Amino acid sequence: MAHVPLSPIGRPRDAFLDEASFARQREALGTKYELLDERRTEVANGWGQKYVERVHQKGKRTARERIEALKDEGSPLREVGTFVNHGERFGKLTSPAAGVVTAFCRVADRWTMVIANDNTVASGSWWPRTPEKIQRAQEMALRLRIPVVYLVDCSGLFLPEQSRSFPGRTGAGHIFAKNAELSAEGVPQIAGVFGDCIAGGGYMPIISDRVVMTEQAYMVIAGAALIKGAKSMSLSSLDIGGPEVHVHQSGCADVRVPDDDAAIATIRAEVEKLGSSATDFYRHGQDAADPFFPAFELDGLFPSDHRMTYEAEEVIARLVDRSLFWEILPDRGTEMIVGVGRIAGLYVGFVANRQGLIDDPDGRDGQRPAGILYRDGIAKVSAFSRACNDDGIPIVWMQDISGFDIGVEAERNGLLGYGSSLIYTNTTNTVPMFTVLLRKASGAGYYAMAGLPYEPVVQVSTPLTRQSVMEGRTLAIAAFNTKLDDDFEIVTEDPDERAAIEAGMAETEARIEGDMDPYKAASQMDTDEIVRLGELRGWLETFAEAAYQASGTRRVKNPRIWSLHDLAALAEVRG
Amino acid sequence: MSAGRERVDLTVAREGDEILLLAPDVGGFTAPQPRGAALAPGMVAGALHRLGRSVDLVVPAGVAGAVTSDPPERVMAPVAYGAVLYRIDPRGAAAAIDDEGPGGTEASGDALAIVASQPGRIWHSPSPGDPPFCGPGDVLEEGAPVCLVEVMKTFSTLPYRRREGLPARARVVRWLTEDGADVQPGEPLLEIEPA
Amino acid sequence: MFRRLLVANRGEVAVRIARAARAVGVAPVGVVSTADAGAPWTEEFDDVVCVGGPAPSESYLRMGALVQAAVQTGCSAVHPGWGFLAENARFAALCEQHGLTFVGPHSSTMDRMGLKWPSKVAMRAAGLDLTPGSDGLLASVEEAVEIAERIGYPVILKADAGGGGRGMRICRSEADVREAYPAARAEAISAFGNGALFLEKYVTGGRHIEVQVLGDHYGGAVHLFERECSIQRNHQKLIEESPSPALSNEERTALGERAARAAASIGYVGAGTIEFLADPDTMRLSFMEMNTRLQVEHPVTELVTGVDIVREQLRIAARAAIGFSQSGVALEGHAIECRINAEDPSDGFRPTPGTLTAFDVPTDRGPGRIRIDTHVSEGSEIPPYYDSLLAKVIAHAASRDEAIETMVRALEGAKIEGVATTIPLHLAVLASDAFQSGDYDTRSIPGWPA
Repeated sequence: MAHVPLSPIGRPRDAFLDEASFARQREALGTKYELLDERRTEVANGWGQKYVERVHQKGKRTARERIEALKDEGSPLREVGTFVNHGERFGKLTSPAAGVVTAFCRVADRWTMVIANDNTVASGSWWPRTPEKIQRAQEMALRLRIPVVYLVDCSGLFLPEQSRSFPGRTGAGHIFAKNAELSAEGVPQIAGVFGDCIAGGGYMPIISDRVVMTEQAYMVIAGAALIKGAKSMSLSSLDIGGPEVHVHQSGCADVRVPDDDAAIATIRAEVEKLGSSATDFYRHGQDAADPFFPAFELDGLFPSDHRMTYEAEEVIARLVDRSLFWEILPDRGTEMIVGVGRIAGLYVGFVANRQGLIDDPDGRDGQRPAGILYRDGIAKVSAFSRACNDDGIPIVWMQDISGFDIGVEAERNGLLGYGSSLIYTNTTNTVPMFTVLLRKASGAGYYAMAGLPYEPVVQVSTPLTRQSVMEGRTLAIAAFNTKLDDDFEIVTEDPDERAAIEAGMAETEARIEGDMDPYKAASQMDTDEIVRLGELRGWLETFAEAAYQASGTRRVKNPRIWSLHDLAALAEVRG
Repeated sequence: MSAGRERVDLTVAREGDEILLLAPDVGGFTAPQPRGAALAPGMVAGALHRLGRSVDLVVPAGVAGAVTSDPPERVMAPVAYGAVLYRIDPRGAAAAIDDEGPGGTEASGDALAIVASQPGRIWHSPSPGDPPFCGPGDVLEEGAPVCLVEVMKTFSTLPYRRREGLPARARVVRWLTEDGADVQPGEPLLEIEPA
Repeated sequence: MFRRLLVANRGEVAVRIARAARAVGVAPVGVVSTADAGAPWTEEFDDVVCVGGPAPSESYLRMGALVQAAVQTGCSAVHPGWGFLAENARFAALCEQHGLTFVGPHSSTMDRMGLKWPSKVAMRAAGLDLTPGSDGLLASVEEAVEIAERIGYPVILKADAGGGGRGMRICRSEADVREAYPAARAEAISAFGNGALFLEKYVTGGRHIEVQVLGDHYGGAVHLFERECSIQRNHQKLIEESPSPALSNEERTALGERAARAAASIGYVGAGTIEFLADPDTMRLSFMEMNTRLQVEHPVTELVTGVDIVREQLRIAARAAIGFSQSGVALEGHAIECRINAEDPSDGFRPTPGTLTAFDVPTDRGPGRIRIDTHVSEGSEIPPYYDSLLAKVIAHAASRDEAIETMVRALEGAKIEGVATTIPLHLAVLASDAFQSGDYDTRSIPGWPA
């Protein structure tokens, strides 16, 4: 069948979840969203109003104001890395967003990656992890082949912490390596220079295809403070490396403009000259359409207790256009759901963990819990992932996984081998992959389902996400194993020793729970962003549109010749 | 909640002494049982292919006998809702097979019970303090939550499923397990009767 | 043109479509529920597939089963008729996904016209008047009050998302608005996840006038003039006529042209109807909504224009251009349609399913012509599961007076037995002064006690 045989998926919410449970779960998540909003606001405020005013007094705009002016009116901004360095102090100082805003930003109907130094945080200087955050954003753009816009306003490295941001493999200089790599791969880069661009800040714009400078901008290897005699000659950094020098004499920049607004307008005009988006072409005659079952209901679908299950089909139903989905190989490895749906009219592959109980193919009439990888599920996912890669269908991985099956049977079945095959597949795939950690992202399951170490283009978490090798309780058991019997009960009869073991286990469990906080992961760059479940559909739209935006840069097979049809045809029951 | 290939009961009609098994939906009928085959409750008797997806056709409770009709000549024969797929002679070889079929374990005397399908701990209510999912007198239909099963620190809702030769609508008689009890596969959980 | 067409509907409309399909050389395939299996009207089809049980949710609304029926009978297109899935964009998309041409506009057009505010914005941009109200979504309760004061009470607050009356509030004073605004918002957020509201004047009464349009894949759009549908009971149309007695020829032409332009501007493909409400005081025509399907009352338009709308739908779906130009469409005479329902008007319009022991409506009593669209005949069973429409009697004559006379003679001569029908109501309306003068609106049924 050369058609893509999407079928209706999902049921009205009240058919599987009563009003009271829905309201309760939505409210519980709402509390977590309040914290998310609060922390977002905190990050967006940078170092506070005083610094905003300081920027305004210079007749300049803040980084976030520049982005707002750059993006298409009414379009969403999808910020990544918001919480990098969140909760971390450098001496007495904090570095909201690591001093740089990176976001998917729609400009002239094209998705771009905007990288804007936050001039309200230490004059946009680079903190530990700032280089990594910038490189991560560059990498996303590289993988999707979408243009990069740099809004540069950076006073160089934050020197007291230079040893953590200068010399390593991902030290500041690697940003310029990424500039070069993007250029070599034909990804357009446009830079606007709005103020200080000292040292590293000076190098960042130069490789870009277009460099726009405002009259307040300068780019220098070293500023006036370090130039001998600058004081006596009353030379400013602007005299040394302003637009007068770089546009007219050195040729290091292309265009000089009076101010921020003119610079933004010029950048928008440049983006408009690029090839327009191919997304509409790849919609194959359809238009973008909302899910039939509303996406906002995702905010109330997940039980507050991560051990409680829900129906993964209902999650997919609230993400795909018109709630139409083609599940592939539905009869095998039922702990996994793999299939294709449209997002904003564009075909996207989905891999998700089914939850609850499933039939056990090894035991007649037996059942076993899903949310775990067994042999058939791994094999199915691997074949699906490879087929999507062959067909050029971007893949969305939706994790809520406790890990691989364990035990004698699992080892005999060769799960190590099947798991490695999947890892090989995902690692060597070139099609854009996007990973969503819905809740649990545990153990090797996190790896097998394209967790961050396997370099998805973007990985987002939700306020419910828990990344870990094992749950706190399990780790406590492992750590105190010698003190426990076969039922994991404490062996000793001595009350003091018993109390000590109980306290030790409780402490281990609590520490691990704390480490699973998604904000901690986001701060350490172990995940790219924390998003609301109800916003997930919007994120997938951005991802799908960005993945199909550039034409001629990657394989996109037309749907009638997908390898997926081969898989489906061979699995059909005949006779 | 899908678990394994979807299964749907064949629709039953009677014509004189014959039992007719009818298509429960529109679709391509495939993998039929041949003439002379013995059918018993719970058996899979072919599949129906609809929009790229197959469902297993299951012989419903109370139906047993020998197939007296020929399978369609075409593979994936298009059939309408209600089309006759099998004619069955209930006096055929299969009549000796226990009508209850596999699964529907007897609890006491003639009573029917929902039984555990995996080892785990049974919880009667969604969370401590909440009212139980169901209790004596409640009627369960396909998909209705029965209890929570805790396996490997994961809690799953056990839905009522008629696949094990149980009635389409069941009335709860009584719980056979305590709240929080550990159970083994095959252990009866809840006594029910046809509603 | 398509080889085989699945008609995803039942009864009168299924018959209408099957005949139109045959007339253009397309073999019609029908679907039935078990309640309709073997009904005489199913003989119109080359092939009939039973898709499920009697209740619509078990059969005629099961989109997966309908698409499977089309696929396994070798159909290449699906006509949804009206009601059931006719305005279901998800069904249209599902058909397209399986290679079946959906006879109707593109699913995204259906989406847009199905949402209140986007359709209003699109139609205003296309030059149609809207009911006075907010200029977009409301920013605050203060804005709502300010607009309400300006346009005058009563006003109605509506949620942008969803429907079914949820998030709707009629307000007769400022205090009402202040109380209703947060409540409507909360209700909309809870139900649809989107609390956006807009406000418009709440108009009671008025005349319901609608324009039939056709658009093709190549940007062509024509109108087929208007229908007057103000004789209604509980928002159910009972009698429709074309042209409307409330419009002058100049107004009629101007309205039609505006509607055709609006259809063209949204890239409308297929047959559609743009509904207007005429303000009872000013006769100003405001856009209400667009129905993206064939209407029950389409025959009155067919009789006065000579255009077979269903045939045009099929031609357009097969990517042909509209077969005539606007200047080729002329109004000839006057047509009136009476919907004969199996309901007892003397008993609160109670539905009356049962067996028709007699069914005869004379077509030869003059002075004009009578057309009868029906799926029933003597001996037909009227199942209790579906709407009560038995037949549509349509009279066409040179003038409105003659059309009324033609209709009265046909209905007086009608012999329908076994079930009660709405014919007594129709005769009472047709005899009333208000109907005969053409001066009536949606507030009451002329000639019939409220």
